[in-house]
Amino acid sequence: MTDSATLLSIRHLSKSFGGSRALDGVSLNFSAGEIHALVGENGAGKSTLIRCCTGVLSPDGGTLGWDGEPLQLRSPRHARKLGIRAVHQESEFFPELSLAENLMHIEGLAAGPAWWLDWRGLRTTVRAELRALDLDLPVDLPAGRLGIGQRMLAEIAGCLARRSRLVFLDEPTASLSVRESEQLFSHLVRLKQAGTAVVYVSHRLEEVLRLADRITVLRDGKVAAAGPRADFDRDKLVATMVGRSPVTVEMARDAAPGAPVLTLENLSDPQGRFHDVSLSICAGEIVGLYGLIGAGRSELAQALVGLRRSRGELTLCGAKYLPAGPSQALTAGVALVPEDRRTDGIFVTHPCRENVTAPWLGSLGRAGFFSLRRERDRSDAVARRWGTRYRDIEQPIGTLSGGNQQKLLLGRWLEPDPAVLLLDEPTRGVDVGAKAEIHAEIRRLAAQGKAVLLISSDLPEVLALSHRVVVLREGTVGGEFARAAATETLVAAAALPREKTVRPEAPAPRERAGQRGPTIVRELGVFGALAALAVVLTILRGREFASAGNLLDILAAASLVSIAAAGTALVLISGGIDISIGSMLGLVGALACTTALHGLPPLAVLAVGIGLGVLCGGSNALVAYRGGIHPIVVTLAGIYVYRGLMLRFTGGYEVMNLPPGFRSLAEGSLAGIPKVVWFAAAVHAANAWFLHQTLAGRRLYAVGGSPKAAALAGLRPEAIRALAFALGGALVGLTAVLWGAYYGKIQSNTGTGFEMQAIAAAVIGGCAVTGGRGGALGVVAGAVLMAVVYNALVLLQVSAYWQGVFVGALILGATALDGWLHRQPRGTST
Amino acid sequence: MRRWREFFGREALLLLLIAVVAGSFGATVPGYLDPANLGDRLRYLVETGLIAVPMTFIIASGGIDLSVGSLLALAGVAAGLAHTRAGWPLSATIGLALVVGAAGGLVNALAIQALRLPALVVTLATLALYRGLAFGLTGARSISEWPEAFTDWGSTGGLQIGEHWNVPWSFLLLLGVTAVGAAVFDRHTLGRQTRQLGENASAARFAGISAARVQFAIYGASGLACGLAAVVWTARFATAHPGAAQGMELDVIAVVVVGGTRITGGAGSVIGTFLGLVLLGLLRYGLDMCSVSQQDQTILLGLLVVAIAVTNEAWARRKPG
Repeated sequence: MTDSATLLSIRHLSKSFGGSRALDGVSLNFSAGEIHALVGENGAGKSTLIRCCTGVLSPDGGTLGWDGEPLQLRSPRHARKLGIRAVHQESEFFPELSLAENLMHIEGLAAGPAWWLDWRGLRTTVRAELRALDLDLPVDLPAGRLGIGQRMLAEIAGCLARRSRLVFLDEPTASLSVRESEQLFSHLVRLKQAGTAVVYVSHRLEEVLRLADRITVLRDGKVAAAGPRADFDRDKLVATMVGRSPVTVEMARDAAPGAPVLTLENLSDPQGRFHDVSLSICAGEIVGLYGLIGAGRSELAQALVGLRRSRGELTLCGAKYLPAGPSQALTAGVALVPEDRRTDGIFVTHPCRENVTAPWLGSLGRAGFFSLRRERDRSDAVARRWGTRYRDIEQPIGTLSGGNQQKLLLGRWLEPDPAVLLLDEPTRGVDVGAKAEIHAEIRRLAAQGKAVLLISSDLPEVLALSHRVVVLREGTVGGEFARAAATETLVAAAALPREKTVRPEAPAPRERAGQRGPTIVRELGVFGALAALAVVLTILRGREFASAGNLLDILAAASLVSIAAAGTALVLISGGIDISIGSMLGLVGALACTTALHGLPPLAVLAVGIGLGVLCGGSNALVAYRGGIHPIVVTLAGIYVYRGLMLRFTGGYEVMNLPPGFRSLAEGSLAGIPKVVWFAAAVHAANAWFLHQTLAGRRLYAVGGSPKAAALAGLRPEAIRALAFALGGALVGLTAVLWGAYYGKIQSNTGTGFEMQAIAAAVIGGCAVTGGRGGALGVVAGAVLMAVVYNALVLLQVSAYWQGVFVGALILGATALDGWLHRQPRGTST
Repeated sequence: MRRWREFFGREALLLLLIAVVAGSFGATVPGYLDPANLGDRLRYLVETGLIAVPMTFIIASGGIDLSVGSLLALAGVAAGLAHTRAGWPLSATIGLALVVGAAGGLVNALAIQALRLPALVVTLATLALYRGLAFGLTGARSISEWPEAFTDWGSTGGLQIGEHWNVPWSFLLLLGVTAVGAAVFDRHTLGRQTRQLGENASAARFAGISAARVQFAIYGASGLACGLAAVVWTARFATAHPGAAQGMELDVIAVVVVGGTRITGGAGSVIGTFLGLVLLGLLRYGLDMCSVSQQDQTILLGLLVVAIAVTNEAWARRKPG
């Protein structure tokens, strides 16, 4: 007997999206120490319910109660603090960061003090967590390399470790092998025994019947049945999921379908989303393609218009059909109306007219020039033909209801009169009235002789419209039914995964030593290139290059760039960019060195310079992130604003004759090594500490790598990026003061082009311009490499005027290389 | 109709501002409205204006091109070297400038498409690369031997209208390019696809729009415009110098942003860009007449760009849908 105490009580919960009600007055309880299964078709409301209970969505109506008290969830973080978590296939995470670090950011897992993270301790903790589930996953590799199943198991291990009180599992076994599934089940039992309320959402009814203590069936957003496990068996479950009072649907009196128009033979997806699919669609026929989410239906449809590559035979009207893309497909006579109109269908802010004509605009004129009048008339006619409710064909399509948007999209694809129509969820998110109108139109089209493939998760819709129903199950055809033979129960049952699916185990990637394994490899690569270059130069120029004097000169030159580059790295890692640092250098240098001229002691000048740098960097960030414009625009303007301010301040004169006390900051050597090199070394040591051992530094990586996951985890991307900019500015300020001390003057063009060198050094060193990657060591390597390249130019008597070519080429080369290296296929496929 | 209301929104505002600026300066600065001065000032707008037309497309597509100034310089010195060192006739050197410009633009497009790199990085790198090439090829020397007819065309030549007005030939060229650009932006599939790509790249893909074709066209056009601008620049200054047009990218982006195109892409207007060009040109003209220094003007320009870009964003976010 389970010790049940109601943990989460849900009363009359409702949630609507646009016109459709995803949840309609759902009331149920989740109790501690119990496995409660939630079952239902696609669109029954399960995901919406989970999202309402985990703080992702706020319900429109109804109440939640937690431990007897009313509950208002503010955010996913709030839910997590209460001990409510959800484990599903699309959890946001940080693919570039290790599993251990992912848990640190997302779960707030303790890893020692924030100023000196205890990586070993963290790894030990995480390994122990995983071992509790007999899991042996590499905690050091980038999490993106793990398979979905492995990541989910790790999350579940986390739930166990953190004594979560309520855990939602959404289709957990879909990506697990048989062995992993068995492991999962035993751990769920353990969770339950520890007092957690487990909510198990799955289509695998055998698993549900095996694990659950209680079962609730959702249908059309309402609770259709609820009770203890003993009340249910497989047949009853299917019937309840699907069963409605038999509605007599108007079936088209159809003539015998014509000849096959589109034929698929053994069509397979190279990425494995579907395999060996064979079917044919005849003229005048509506073929319903039913299946669960993830069965591969959308991918199949996309392959039929060339949006995905596929293997196998495709025949259109008897001839070979090889579409290169939707445009060619449309010309051949095949049109696809995609599933997600918001992300793949409409241009939200653009007028209805432009949305309707998008794929065939060129046909409204000559040589690409179209007639606006013709476009307006045609799109208006399309909209009216479909009974769209709108004010004006010019209004932004985003202001229309979902149903009307859908009608316009359908009109768009039907206007060129294709012979084959692929409709992917044509009535999703559409109100009842529009739905009926769309159904009528689909029947009319078939009656006119079109071949229609209707992909839908709405079983009544499939059965009402289709002449034939094909069921796709886990990527391949699971059943085919003529209309007369198809019943809801049969079709739904055919779509459900079979119990004994033999899924090959995803090989666990081998763990590599060290937490920063991959980054270090990349950084070492730069040192390797550096070494190679040094060898070549020694061969070509012998003593000239390899003398102590020359090498120290190189280091000194590299030092100043590298300090600024360290700042650039911080900004890049956090996902930003600052190209104003050259002008910033000039401005801060002029201002700070002027204070030196007026007798301010050197350390105070340093403080002034750093402070001014923070001010400039911080302003850049403030304007960019508060103003909502990309930092490239702000810092582009900054180049000229800072330079102008500097010229205004100096009147075009150099700042020179700096006092020897100040100059001694950077001039000369200490223990045989130039002082600037010492400064640089100190900066890089501090940078390495910050980036690799502090929580604040690690957050830069999180925010830069996956801003969405960072926001969900409760990190504040804007604040963190502003910090990066401010620190970057501080380092530029430091560089500016040292520059003045080292070279003895600040000229009007001091710093021009400097940002390029800094960015090149950072990028060569492994920083990705898109954010989330890079390291302190790499910056040093990059700066030294740049200095060696410049030195080589001098030694080889190549004019210094060519420097720009090398900087530009190096940036391009390094970025391209990184792009290629990181495009390797990951272990996951969503 | 809504369309007319929207047209009168941005473009009308710009016309109003133009009137205000011209009126204020005209009333307070002697000689501001003098046809000879005004006519000559039109020359100053041409290079920026030529490049701003394809830049409108690029920004509307969600991209950016920072290499325009460098490419202008490179095209200019390439033409100069061909003319002085290799003795090419003028027409051939003009052609070379156009070819070099177009090639530079296509290299950008190639790197963006084939290497799948963000436009930001690519054009930042080519900004340095092309400038470096220009300096390296010439050793930082300018090329000043040009046929008189050419430099006359560029510095003083124009269409005489009535007694007082002399409209520079280069400005007429700009008008032509702008007209073509506006026609393509508003009435050609390229313009439409550019905006759709910037609005929703995924939906554009599903609608059969080829991102590669659009990008090659617009970045290539940008390069070609740089080449054309190089010809005009060289004719105007009678010099091809590798350091030419530094900071041009900010001028061009400023004009596009003031014209109403959002940095995030999805919308834009070539007419707006042109009006922005005129407005900023009048502002600079007035400031020059008031002896405001170049660096002060640059500060103002930088601040203005940022302010207008932020305003564009805020305004767009206020609209529903």
